[in-house]
Amino acid sequence: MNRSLVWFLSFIAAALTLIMLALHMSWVSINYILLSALMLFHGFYGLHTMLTEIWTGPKTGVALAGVCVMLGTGLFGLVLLTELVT
Amino acid sequence: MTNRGLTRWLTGSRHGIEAYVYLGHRISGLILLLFVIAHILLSSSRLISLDLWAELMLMTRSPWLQACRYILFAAFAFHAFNGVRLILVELGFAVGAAEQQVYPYKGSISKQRPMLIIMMVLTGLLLVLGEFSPLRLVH
Repeated sequence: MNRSLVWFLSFIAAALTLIMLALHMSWVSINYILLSALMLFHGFYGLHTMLTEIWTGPKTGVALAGVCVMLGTGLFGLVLLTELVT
Repeated sequence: MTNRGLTRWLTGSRHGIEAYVYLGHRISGLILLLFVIAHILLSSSRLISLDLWAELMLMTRSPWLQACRYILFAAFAFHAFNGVRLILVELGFAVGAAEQQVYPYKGSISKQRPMLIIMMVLTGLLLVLGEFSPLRLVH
């Protein structure tokens, strides 16, 4: 996926997370699954950015992206499973 | 050389307060990500058994974790307000109009700094409100 598009999506995810958390603080019921997806995407995108600044190199970047995607997807799967089963 | 990025984070270099806010944004982001992961794992313990989930929930009431909750709230407040500042800067607010560069060159940091100060004051206010207001946002 285009890097600038992922950056833009992370930007949007941050803004939506903030709006949803602000609503949540006002005791408005929010969608936990959607909020989790936004937070995990933004969080792991940020983690990937930080890690690629420490460990540079194109191959390392791809490997780190793979690890972040797997961790994020795995955790989101856990959220879905928990919400749907319990 | 692989630690160049990390060294730059820790020293703040010559860039002043903005470099430390940048570092703070990253540290608070890591704290929040760790919380999200811990929260998901704790919530998903319901899949194993409700007793395990209840036991883990009881552990979160310990005074040590209550103190951690305030640190988490501080990380959230800082990350949120600084994030809003970053979004506004990305959208072109407080950057200033384009102008021809004449030596000595001027950066846009002096134009952005008032917004940084406002956001940090708002962060401080939210932290005080979170702990001392009747709303008790933290608990």
